[in-house]
Amino acid sequence: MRRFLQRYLSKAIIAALFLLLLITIHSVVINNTLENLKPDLQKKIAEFIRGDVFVGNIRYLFPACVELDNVYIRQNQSSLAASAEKIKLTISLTKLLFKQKLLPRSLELKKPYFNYSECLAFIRGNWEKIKEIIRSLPKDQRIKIRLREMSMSLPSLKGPAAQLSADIAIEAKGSVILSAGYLGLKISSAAKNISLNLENLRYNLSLNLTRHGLILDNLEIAGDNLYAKSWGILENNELRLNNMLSLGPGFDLYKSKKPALGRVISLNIFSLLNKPPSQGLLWYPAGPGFIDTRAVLIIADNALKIKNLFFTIKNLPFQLTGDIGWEKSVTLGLRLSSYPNQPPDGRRNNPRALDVDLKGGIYGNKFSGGLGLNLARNASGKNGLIRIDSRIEEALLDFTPKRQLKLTAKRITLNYPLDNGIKELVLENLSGAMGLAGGSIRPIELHSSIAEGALDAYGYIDTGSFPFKEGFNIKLSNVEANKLDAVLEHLSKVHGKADAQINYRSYPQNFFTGSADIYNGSLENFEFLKWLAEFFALPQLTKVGFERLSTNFFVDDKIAKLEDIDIASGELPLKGYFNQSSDDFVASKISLDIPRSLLSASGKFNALLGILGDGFDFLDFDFQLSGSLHRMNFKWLDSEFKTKLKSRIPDFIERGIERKVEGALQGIATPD
Amino acid sequence: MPNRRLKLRDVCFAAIFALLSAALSAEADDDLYSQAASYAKNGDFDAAFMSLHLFINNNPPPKLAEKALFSIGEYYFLKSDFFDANAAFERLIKEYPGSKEKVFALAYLLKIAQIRKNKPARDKAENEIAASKQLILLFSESKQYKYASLFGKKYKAVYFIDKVEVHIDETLFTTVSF
Repeated sequence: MRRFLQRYLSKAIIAALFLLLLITIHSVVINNTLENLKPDLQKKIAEFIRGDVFVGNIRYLFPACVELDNVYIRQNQSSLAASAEKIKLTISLTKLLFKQKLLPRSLELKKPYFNYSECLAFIRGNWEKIKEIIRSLPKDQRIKIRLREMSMSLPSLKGPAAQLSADIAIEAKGSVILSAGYLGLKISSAAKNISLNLENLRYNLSLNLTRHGLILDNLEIAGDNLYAKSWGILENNELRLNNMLSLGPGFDLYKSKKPALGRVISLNIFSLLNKPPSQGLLWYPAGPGFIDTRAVLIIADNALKIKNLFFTIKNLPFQLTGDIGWEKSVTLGLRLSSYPNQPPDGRRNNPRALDVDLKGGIYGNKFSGGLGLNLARNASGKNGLIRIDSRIEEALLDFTPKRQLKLTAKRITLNYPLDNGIKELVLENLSGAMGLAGGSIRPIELHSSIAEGALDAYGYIDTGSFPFKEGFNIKLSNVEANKLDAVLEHLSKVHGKADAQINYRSYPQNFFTGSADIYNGSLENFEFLKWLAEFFALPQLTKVGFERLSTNFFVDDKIAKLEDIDIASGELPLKGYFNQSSDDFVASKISLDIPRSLLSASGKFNALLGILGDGFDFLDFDFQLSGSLHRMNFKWLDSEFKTKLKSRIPDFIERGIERKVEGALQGIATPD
Repeated sequence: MPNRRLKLRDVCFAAIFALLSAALSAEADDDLYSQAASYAKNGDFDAAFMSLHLFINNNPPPKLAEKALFSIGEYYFLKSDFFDANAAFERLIKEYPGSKEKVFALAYLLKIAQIRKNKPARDKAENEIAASKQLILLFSESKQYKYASLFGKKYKAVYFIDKVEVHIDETLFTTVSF
């Protein structure tokens, strides 16, 4: 027995040594061959990709593996398109031995790097060739691809740098592709104080390639407080995609296995026969941080048509439709609607129903175009949709180091309905910023030229509920008063340079309050002045010049009030208040000091002056007005002048004067 | 010759008949109105109402129609039949917008709207009362308008610069401030 073992052991050792020698010789020969073939190989790859290729070392590993070290690919002179520290390609030995076919079994890249823009351009330029290669792969051959410690630089457009890192395993057989792994996303900009770090995102992907596109069976991405899931179909150019995004705990990858870092990810291709019900979640949470979307998109070379994109945020349904083009410059034609499926009558009464239309293009890096808004509005019990349109010239959005979203624009023209007409308000050289750091309350500031003066506004938008709540403090400096008739129609009759302080709030309902001072101007054709001119038979009262006019005001949907009116004027000093309700009812008290010289020009009141004698330079007239704006009631309030007059005329003359004035005034009251 | 004479005679008879009918009809209308007034004076408001009801549906002369409609509305209101009262006063205001009864009809409509808790109708009535007269007060503090209905009620509207008071039989019925 011992002799038998000794004889066969020695033969076995000799055989093993012989085999080792064979393998070594075999490896050395192949390695030499590969080293000699390396320049040709580099040249052929370079021709295929139309760029430069550099391969450090190439070597053969027994029995069927080739390794390349330090591979670099450049598409143009300056930028690196892709690289890898090591590429390991394993050939199927059985296919080679039994079918004499050189077919890949697995491909592993260690520390590969990809430049997104260069790679995208390469894929676009060689898409047909790539499809051909994929089609030529044997349908019954399983191929594994592994990317360890991958990184990809994402396009920055002069913004913050963005880097994607990944650890990916891909398995493909026929038209089925499975993949799983880890992703990480980092966006940073020291200049703009922006950083975003999403690490340790796990993902699952399964898709089928079809003749005309692909079926995305499942794509899930899960992180600590993030879960996203997509599925859909791309056929010809049409993509139908369903998505779910949850920002918060509670979800994890459907495939419960969580691959440990560094461990080989193994996927059973035959699990496709029992497809996971990835599309059928048993329940759909609808709390904050949960977004559900369905999209139908048409993808063309230089354009994307969004046939519809439905999504919900905080239980509010939205729809996005429109087109995005990027042939020479980016063009946009988009509409975003809330409650898109609600009937028109319902939307008219729904304060949360809105449509936002954005149409224009990005030229250079600035947007020019139009932004329109349809809003449901309830004012004094009247429901309806109002339309606000704006034309925007050269608007630029940017991030600042203070974590603000900054907007600048050369010009913004607003058109909106007011008082049965369409008004236009123009803002020029606008700059604004909105804070983005934490919470639902966003501070806002805005500066612009307006009506030949300046506007400075500080306020906030509270995004905690919908519709949003806003509050602003606005300062106007040296503006031309009558050019602000788009804000308040009566201002069309006020001339002069104005300074104003305005406070605006949108809740519980819209209202403005504030104060204004107007200098060296005039009032022309005010209804009250016309009435006064008729009353005193003094046509020159329809236009009153002043050195200064100051007033406090309050405006909401029900009433407009001018309080503490003080007009310093050599022609007609005036104090008082004037309130007008939304149904055109007036409440007012006015105190006038009419110069005797002016009153003497009145055919109606000249006679009264005769009665009073010459003891007055200014005659004080205090009035109270009430009733309908178009048929105002008038009461002459008590004053020194009135007391003196009453003492000098008998009662029957008083009654006669009253009847005469009544008869004259009732001819004035003609509605506009 | 005899046929021509017959025709002329027929025309004359027809004309005389038409005139007499109109006169009798007017007299009948006036009778109904007078009847109603007489019933009202005697305190028989139900009978007065019946006469007025017949009167108003027989193409009555405007001056009397205003008073009749107002009194019909008064009657329904007193019976708490606010639906029919509302209809009568609305008809008065629509068909006779310049009538002296208008402000008092509006006061009743306001009261009915308050009882029914109908805010739009209440607001409408208040606005119409506030705008019913343009007031010029130079030396006086208020102006008064008086009216006596067929049923003997005494109405008074007092217009101040910032309110209107409506009184019925010296009792404040309603006030509208503005």
